[in-house]
Amino acid sequence: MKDVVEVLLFATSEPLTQAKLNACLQDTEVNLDEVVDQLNADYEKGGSGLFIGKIAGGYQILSKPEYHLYIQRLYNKTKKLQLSRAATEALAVIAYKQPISRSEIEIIRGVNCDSVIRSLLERELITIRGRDDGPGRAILYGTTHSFLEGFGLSALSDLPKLKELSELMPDNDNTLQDASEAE
Amino acid sequence: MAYRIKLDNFEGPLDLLLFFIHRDKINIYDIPIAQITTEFVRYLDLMQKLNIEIAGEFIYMASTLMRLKARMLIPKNKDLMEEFEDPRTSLVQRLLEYKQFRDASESLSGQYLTHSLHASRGMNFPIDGVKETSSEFVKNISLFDLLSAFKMMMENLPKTSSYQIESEHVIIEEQIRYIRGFLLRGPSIRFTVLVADLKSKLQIIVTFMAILELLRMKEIRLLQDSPFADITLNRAG
Repeated sequence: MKDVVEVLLFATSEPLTQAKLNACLQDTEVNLDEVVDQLNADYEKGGSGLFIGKIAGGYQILSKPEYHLYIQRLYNKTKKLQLSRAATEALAVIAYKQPISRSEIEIIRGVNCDSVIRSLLERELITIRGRDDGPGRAILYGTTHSFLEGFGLSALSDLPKLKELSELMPDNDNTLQDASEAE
Repeated sequence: MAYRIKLDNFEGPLDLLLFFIHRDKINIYDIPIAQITTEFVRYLDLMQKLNIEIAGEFIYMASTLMRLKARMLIPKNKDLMEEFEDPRTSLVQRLLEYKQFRDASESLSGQYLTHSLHASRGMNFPIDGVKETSSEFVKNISLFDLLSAFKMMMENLPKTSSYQIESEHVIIEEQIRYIRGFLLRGPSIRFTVLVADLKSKLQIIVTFMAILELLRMKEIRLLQDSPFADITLNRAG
């Protein structure tokens, strides 16, 4: 079944999920995870520049990072994050705390977030997830599928862990240490 | 005011406080409120000077800091110490929570950059990047970095000496001697020749007054063919 899975992976531009595979195969049952492992082993053996990565809950054929330069030349552009620091910050708050209302984001950032939220919505990195039950029925935001795809995450649980509060101030720990050593 | 800068995507007051904390290596659990309030207000002044529209959040934070500063000054009642909560606690918590997400956003950007090295089938650029732009170039620089760079530059400017105006000492007696000097060498001299070498307006004016003085003392006679024409000075007698 390796051939069929490979063809499907080749043909689709969206990550291939087990459900999609099942729909394509109809009666036959194939474990996508296992076939992908086999294909990856084959690629590795054959010295291929490709591998199959787990993205947004499915699988996708990806080029290895070392070929980045050639692809960049092919497209004659750089694929780089065009998000301001403010937008990335708001996106992080939403990613970790979704569903979340605008005012909750603003409390954390201490800043009005109107325009950043608008630009994140426009880029389809976040979407409206419904409304809060509380007074005012605030709009709640969450991240989208294209957020996972764009950031190469297989699922939200793949997000880098938030640092513990105690880990946040290494600089100060050093200074405290320096001070005590000086004494 | 010629222009105003309005920032849509800006770093907020919490960012500014973290900026001070990082720069001055302040222990976040023991923030010197008075010192940091002064710094904060100084930066707001600077922003105002640069015509950057200060968002309400900054003003609100400034007032919060001042309230904290006042509360820190209230003497603590030893008996009530147990119940006495450090007034800074809620600010510290907000700062830490904000920092948590600010750090997370950095690792998220890192994640994006790593993933952007992979190309996929039917590659669409979810976040379209064209050529590197100037905004890309300054992406990792915050408003406060710019402000402090600006501040440092202003402080390190070479001290320009204020423009000096030297008072000129031109006196009539001297100019009389000057004119007499010419008249010793010849019986007459024209006014334009007399003032040709003079360097300032004041010298010319005083010289003219000297001529009037010499005329009054009857040492010279003046001849002028027509109004605004050149004046000829003749030795009298």
